[in-house]
Amino acid sequence: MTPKAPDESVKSGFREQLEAQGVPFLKRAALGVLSLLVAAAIWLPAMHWVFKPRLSQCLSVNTVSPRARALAAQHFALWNDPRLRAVEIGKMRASNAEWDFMGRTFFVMALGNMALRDPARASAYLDVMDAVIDETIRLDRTEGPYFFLMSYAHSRPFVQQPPRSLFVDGEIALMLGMRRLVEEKESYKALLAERVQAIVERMNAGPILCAESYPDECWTFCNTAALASLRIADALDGTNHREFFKRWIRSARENLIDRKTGLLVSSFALDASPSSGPKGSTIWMAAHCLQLIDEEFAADQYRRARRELGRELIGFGYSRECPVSKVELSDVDSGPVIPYLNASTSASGLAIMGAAAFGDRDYFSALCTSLDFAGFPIEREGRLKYCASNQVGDAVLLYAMVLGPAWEKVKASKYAAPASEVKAP
Amino acid sequence: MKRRWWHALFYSRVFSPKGFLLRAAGLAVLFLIVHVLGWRGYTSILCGTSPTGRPSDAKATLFGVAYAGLYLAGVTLVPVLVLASAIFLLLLRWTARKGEAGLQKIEK
Repeated sequence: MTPKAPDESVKSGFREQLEAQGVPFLKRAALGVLSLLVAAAIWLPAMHWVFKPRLSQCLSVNTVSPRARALAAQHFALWNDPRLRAVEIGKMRASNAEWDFMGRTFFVMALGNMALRDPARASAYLDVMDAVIDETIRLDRTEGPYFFLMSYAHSRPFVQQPPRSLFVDGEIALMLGMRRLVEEKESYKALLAERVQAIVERMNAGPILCAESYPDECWTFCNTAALASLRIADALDGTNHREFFKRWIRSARENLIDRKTGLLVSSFALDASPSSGPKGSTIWMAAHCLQLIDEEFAADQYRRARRELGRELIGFGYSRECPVSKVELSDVDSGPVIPYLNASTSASGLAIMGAAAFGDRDYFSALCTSLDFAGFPIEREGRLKYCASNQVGDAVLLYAMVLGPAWEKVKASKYAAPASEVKAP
Repeated sequence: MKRRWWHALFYSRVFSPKGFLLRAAGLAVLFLIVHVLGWRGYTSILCGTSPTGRPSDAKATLFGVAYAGLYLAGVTLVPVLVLASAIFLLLLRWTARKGEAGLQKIEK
């Protein structure tokens, strides 16, 4: 067999190829690089327009937005199909049992707001809320206080005994309260009162009016969520925790504020020694919950979080996990963090909620642009899910897109007479 | 012998309009392949959730990372390369005309 003649265009050198065409290599390379730079300068700043959703698609103003409806449809499918639900929850529990629990909380909170926005469908939403709440309470009772906690909860005993997590109590109380805000359910009254009592006892007993979520580990996220649940209970049952709230805010200003940023720290020991600084995966939710407790303080925390953590880059919004002055390693709460930008998936998801809660439309829009860019949405048969997220992430996004009416309803309610106020022990 | 399509992709000049276009097409085709294969579903690893429920599943992680990488290339690099090829072509024509004009001047 005769060997084939070598292909000149391939075998000859790169430089020779270019020079054979009459354009010196260096000139051609320079023109190529210049073309790439000009193209990048045109495309990259314009790229966000391709992904930017219309605000009305995401943000619910009067009724439930189309995007929120599609996200909710995906969740309904999960709760209507035990096998599918088991698969999705199993995936999350393999990484973090908390996500299973928080996915329930945010879904119920979202449904409560959807029911208030769309009374015609409230009955269907309430059925699902009840199913989620009943199953969550059943699991908490039958599996014990550690079921929704990560395994390190077993590594040492809770300081406050018997073992009980404010994370679980606070969010179950939030779910019960949210359900009753939409429509009263007698059987949930005692359940909410029981959780409220446990929350107040534990928080009051703590040196700085905070209780543990994990052994000797208090989280601002959980403590502020618990406070919000107390405020909802006040609106529903005529109790009055106003003095407790004032003392809590005073204590937080004294003990839980990071000096450099003025933001609430994320976690701390029961004796108030901080174990981590401010974090995006905490502060957006904390500021939102504090809207029910002290609006001025909440707005100040949001403004500071926006300045320290909220970022926009060529039209794409994201949240840093840590302030520039206090960068910490990523953990299970932050999710993977993009180096240099310190952009965190969970902080950015929760920032959407913060932006919606504080009416920051520009930031909300920029964050939703990032969501469409890097969230890998799939919409089939009217059901939307973000592939780069999970059930809890999608529940947070759903809540962010519908929140408003429930908090407004609570804020509009007046406190009962001070006679029923909870006193410090 | 007729060249195979991938031959043109790998051996066409990097710094040429055609080279840019072919590389853009190559990236787009690779992205389309992983998209059709359904690797989008594996991107939940970006939030720390294994799509298979096994956090140490290296294959799922690889699929998720590969999809995310090719997607990023698809939405950032591909349009840049396509635009750059058009700009490059214009620049080459402009420099060629400039060269011809210079030659004509010298001949005159």
